Amino acid sequence: MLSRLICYIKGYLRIRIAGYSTERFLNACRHRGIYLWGLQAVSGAYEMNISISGFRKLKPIIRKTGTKVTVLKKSGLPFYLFRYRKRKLFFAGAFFFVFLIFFMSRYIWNIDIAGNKSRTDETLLEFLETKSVRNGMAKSKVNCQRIVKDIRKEYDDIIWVSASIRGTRLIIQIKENEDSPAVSEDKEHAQEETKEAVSPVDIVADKSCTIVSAIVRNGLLQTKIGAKVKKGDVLVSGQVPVNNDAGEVTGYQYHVSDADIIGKAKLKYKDSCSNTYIEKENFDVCKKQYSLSLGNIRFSFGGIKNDYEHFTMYGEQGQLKFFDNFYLPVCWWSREAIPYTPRKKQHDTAEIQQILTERFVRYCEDLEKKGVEIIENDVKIYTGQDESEAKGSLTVRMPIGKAKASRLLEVPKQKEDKGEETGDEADGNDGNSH
Amino acid sequence: MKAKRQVSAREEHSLKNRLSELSELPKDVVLGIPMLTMVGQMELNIENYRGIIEYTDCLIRIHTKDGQIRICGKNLKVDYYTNDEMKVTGHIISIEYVGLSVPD
Repeated sequence: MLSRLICYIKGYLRIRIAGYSTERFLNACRHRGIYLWGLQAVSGAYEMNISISGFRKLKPIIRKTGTKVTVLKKSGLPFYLFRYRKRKLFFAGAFFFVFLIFFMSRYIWNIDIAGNKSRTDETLLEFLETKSVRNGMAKSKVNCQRIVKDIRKEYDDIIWVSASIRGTRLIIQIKENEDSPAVSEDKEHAQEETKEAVSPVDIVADKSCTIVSAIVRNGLLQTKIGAKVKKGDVLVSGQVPVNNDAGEVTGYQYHVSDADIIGKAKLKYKDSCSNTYIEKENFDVCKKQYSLSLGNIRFSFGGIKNDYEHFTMYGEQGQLKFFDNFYLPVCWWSREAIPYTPRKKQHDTAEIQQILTERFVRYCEDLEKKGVEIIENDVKIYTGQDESEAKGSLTVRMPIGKAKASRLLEVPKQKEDKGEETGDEADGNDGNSH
Repeated sequence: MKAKRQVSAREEHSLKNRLSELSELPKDVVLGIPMLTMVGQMELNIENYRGIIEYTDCLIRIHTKDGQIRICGKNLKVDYYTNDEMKVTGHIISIEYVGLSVPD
């Protein structure tokens, strides 16, 4: 393929050799390093392909061997250009095409975002738009480091960002923090931790439960194993009291609490499913529309407008690109609308049970992924006239606690003469308690 | 006289043969003997040849160091013909070595 392309670009001739010692001609060519290909014997003569430079060296060989050479065909780019040398517009067009490719390659025509799970491409693109990063911007104006910093600054749950330019594509790869359950809550914590690293942080119960186990790495445990706690109760305090010899509190050491607390809790589960569903009965009609856009200009062919009340619409979109990374501002769409009549149908009991069970199993799997262990399960399915329900409760062992800034405790007032003696002597509890 | 030269050439040949066996060098390089590579019945690559003696669409005779190689077939074409290598395509029926010395 490549050698053929090179031959085409360099240009070649198809020649016919006739005469007495044609084999000698071939050997002489070989001896002089003239490349011959596509050799074929045709009624006492040979036909072959020869390069332009090779053809120029043929004269002495022809004289020596006494053969006759006829040019049958001239192929390749040099001959093509020579033939159409008077078509000035053609050359102008070709030059313009090369210029256009060169010009287009200096802009970003596609922003590719990968690795985002909780945020959609559109959200991130909208944000980038506010930072003047958009399709059609000059590549020279793209500051990848700036983009990385902006994204990291705006989204705290995005823990890693990489921006790079490949061809006419801006590739943004991100990694989200999968541990953070709620984005806004985590954002608050992060701010708290960074700004007030020395201020105490407690761990409070985020659910009413019975404590099963507690491993404290930092802070002071405020509850016991087996104790029942309510939502909002402080489990681990970030303020560790400093006692004097008399056992009086003289101050507090501040910590950011860190502990693994497992609690036994009851989770309520409720899920409902309608006994009826809508089935689409398609018509044999299909409306299609094709669109082509060049930058902001859009051409559409056909239409999907119809008088039907219900219809399903499918769409497909593509962008013109050379190879993997050279995207161009040419997009196409195809949309089709298929009208249908909605028919109400009834699920049978087995189907309802299957739907609700599948959903419940998925819910349990999600819980297990979060480190929740299910001990007891009394979820049952109740079939009603219009709607069916799966409800009940799950007894689980799950990680309990969320970080919350401590409410600062006041140091009890002491007699002045004892104040100096006590100093910073702690009661041995340096925060590493269990 | 001619017989004498043939004998000495043969001796030299066997010496080189032994040398190539000892040094584990490829024989086509040391001895300069033709190397033929076939793909099915339709493609034949030939290296280490001296030239074409005859070429028609059903017979190709090739001159090599030790003699001739006759390739018979149908619609024989030479895909390329260079100083080092040539490629014959078409339906190859037979390959025959003519005038090559047979080792004792």
